[in-house]
Order: sequence, then structure tokens, then C-alpha cells
Amino acid sequence: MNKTPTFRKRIGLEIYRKIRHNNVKLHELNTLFWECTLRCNLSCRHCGSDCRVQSDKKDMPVADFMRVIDEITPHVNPNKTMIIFTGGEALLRKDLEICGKELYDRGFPWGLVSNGMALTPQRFQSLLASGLHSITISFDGFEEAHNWLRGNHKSYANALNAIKMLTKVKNIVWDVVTCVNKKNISDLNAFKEFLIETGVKDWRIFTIFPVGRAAESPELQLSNAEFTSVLDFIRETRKENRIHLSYGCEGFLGNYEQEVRDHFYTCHAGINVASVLADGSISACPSIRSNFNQGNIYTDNFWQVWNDRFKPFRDRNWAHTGACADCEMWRYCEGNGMHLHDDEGKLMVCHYQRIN
Amino acid sequence: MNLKNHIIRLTNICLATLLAIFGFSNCEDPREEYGVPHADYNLKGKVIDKSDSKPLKGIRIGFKPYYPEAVLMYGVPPTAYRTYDADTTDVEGNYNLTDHFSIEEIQGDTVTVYVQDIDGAENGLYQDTIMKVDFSNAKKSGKSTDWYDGILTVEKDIELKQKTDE
Repeated sequence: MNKTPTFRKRIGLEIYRKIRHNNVKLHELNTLFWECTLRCNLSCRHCGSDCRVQSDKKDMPVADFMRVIDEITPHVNPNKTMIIFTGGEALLRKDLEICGKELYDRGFPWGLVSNGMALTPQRFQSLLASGLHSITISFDGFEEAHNWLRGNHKSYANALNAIKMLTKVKNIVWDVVTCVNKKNISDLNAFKEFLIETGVKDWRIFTIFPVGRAAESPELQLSNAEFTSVLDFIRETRKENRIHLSYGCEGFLGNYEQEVRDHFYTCHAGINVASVLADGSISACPSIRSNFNQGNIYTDNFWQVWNDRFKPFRDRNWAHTGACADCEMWRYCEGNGMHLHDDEGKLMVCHYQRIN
Repeated sequence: MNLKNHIIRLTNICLATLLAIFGFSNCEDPREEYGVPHADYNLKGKVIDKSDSKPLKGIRIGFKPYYPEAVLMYGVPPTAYRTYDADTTDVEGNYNLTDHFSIEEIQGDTVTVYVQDIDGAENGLYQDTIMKVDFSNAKKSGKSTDWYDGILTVEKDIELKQKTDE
């Protein structure tokens, strides 16, 4: 497919651009990530968190994070502000249920992202009892490919067990996320059939961006032709209507916009999405590391930071330089996702340029 | 909510309508990437003739995802990524819909419903319509009646105009 947006798509992009600019003005917080631990029970090749099995950073106490929740509560509709536990591996926190119940009592929906290693039936039941209603499981291909990426020979079996548990529960919203790389790309069709057969209804695909541990591993990076083939695969799968598949949230995709996702591209970091990192840093999405921190919960009021700072996220003109300077797609893309800029603000990946 | 923000939101609703006219999904609210709370929405009632309150058989009613009303009038509607519950009225005009929505599929407490006369002139010809149903005062039931779970029920009788009424 020609990557240049059609005339009709341009019209849609122009309209959406106005919507986005209005959303920036409103900057209504609707998603808050909490990097609740840097500990992890895996050592994934691609981890942007650069997490360790034994992190030397102590977990933030629940009370400290709940103070942030109490700061935002008067200003948001709790029912429509999603709190997501991430990490590291969130399930390594034994007190997750305590935090979850506190959030539930305040009316905040909450969920978590997990590798599934520690999601035993008992743990799952206790999380459900604490109000868990959404979960994402990382599942990166068949056994060899998944275990290679996750660095543990038991990780595939545990992730699959977690997924099978989820297929049996009625009242939970869940999906599977797959990082596509050179090891699993050739199996995508077969993997799709396997997921459908297993009972997965919602599936997201990411391609790995070169930060953290992933920057050191060339097998994790797809060629431009491979990246384009992934988009074509998603597009064709969506037409089949047998499983709801989307490309992840990053990257302006030209004419693939609205073909591989349910919406036009936008980076919501700092516009609708914020995060509290393990050390208390206030950032946008947890994929963004320390270079764009806006404050710290131990020295600043979160809500004041959300309202008064986040300028680089809401005014992206600083990124209109380098490869983006003369790009005709700038007005729709505005420099790609925030997490794809290095410490000097230089763009590391342009998805549009990668499309063949 | 101050006036300026209110105007911005209204502007975005109009722009979202425009997007839908061109057949695009609206991204006014970002898709929640990690799963969202949800509930079962149950809508039931009768479809009747507006002029004489006669119950209407053979009327198709179904839930629609969050797209503005104009979308069916102007072009190809955006492709929904799943099918939504629909029902056809019986001889007494009764219908009953139940579906499971997440927060991104509805607009606040409002669910959109389409109503179509699908049996031709057999029971009279009636105008198709799209309507919004307000669930903010819905009856709550089920194991849990908390905001994030359970069943929300609205009973609503729908009046349709005959096509000759124009």
C-alpha cells in the first residue's frame, strides 16, 4: 500500500489535528501509570525499564502513591481515570491488592501489565477480589521465540497459563501484547491462529524501539520491509474480523492510519497520560525515561505539576528539527512519540520513514 | 468546568461528527491501552407507531459504537471491530438488547442505538432512525451494582414515524 495518505485520509487527519490541539488545551488526565516496582522475575532482552531481578531501588510505599491519588481526586472523574500498575513486574508486589482495594474504594478503575509468570490462580482470585478488572499479558510468539525474548525457559508456559485463566473469567477486560522481532515475525500467521484458538479476542502488536536493553540487540530490530509487512499483516487480520488486532500506540503511519488502529495516531503522553515512576518522578508514559521528568511526588504537588508543567509534551515545536524539520507529515505527527527522543531531544525512530 | 473548556469540548464534538461523516473513527478520547471497566447494558421496550401507538413487528434495533448520528446518513460507516447486539421486534413490538460495553465504546452515560424497518411494506413503511439512550438513571442489578460492573437496564418505548408522514 502506498504510504502517502489519500486525499480522504488527509481530510480526516486535518480534522483530527484540530481535535488533538483542543485536547492539548484541555489536557484532561485519564490514565495514570504507577511504576510500582523495578524488581522483575524475568530479564527480557528488550526491556526499556532496564529492570533487574534484584533492583536496588526500594518499592514506593502504597501510601505515597495514594497521596498522589488523593491530590488528583478533586480534579478528575475517578470512574474515568484509569490507574495502571506497571514495572518491572507489578505482581512481585505482595501489597498490590491493598493498593487496588484503596483505588476501588475511591472509584478508580485499575489494571496491570504483566508477564504472567506470577499469576497463579490464587493470586488472580485475590486481585479480582480487590477490584482488578483489566490486565494485559505479554506473549511474544511460540515457545522458543517467547522464551528467547523473555530470557526464561518457563516464561512461555506461565504466560500461556495466565491467558488460559483469563479466557475462563467473564467479567474482566484483558488483552495480549506481542513485541514483534526477527525471531517471531515469520510465525505471525500461525501465532494468530493459535491465539484465536486459545480464546484471545484482543491483541496488540508492538515493534521494539531502541532504548534500554533493546538498544544493544540487533535481532530485536525489524528491517523496513519487515516492519511494513507487520502493518500489512495487521491490516489484513482486521479485515478478517476474527480477532481484534491493533498496532501499538506509537508512530504516525501515513496511509496505514485507521487501517491498523481504531484511531488516528497521537501521542497522549502529557496530554491525557501521566506516570509516577519508581523513584517518585512525575512523567508521562512509563516508556519515557528520566530525560523528560517534570517533577517528583516527594517535592511537588502532582496536580500542580500536571497543570503547570509538561510544556515539552503539549508544545512539540522543539521537536520540529533534524529529520522532522522538512517533513510534510509533521503537522499530523509532531515528532512521533515522546519516548522515541534521546536525551538531547533527537528523534531515534520515524515510523513513517520506515514504511516501504 | 469553566466556560472556555466547555466550548472546547463542544467544538471537539462537532469535529468528531465531521470525522465520522468521512468515515473515520473518532479519537477524541484516547483508547485505553490496558483494559477498562465495563458493564452490561440492557435496553428493552416496545416499538410503536407514533400516530396510533400500534406495536410494530419486524423492526431491527441494535447497539452502535460511539459514532455520531450523521454517520449513517452520509457515507460508509466506520467498520466496527466487533458485532453488537441487535434484535428484531416481535408481533407485539417487543425488543430486548443486552451488550457488554467498555468505557471507550460509549459516550459518557449515553449509548447509541439504530432502529431500522427491515421487513419492507409488510407491516407498513417506517423511517429509520438513530437515537441516543441515556443510561444515567438506569436500574442497576446483578451480583454487583457498583459503577464498574453489573447490569444497567433502561426500559424505553420507541416511536417511529411512517414514511408517508413526511
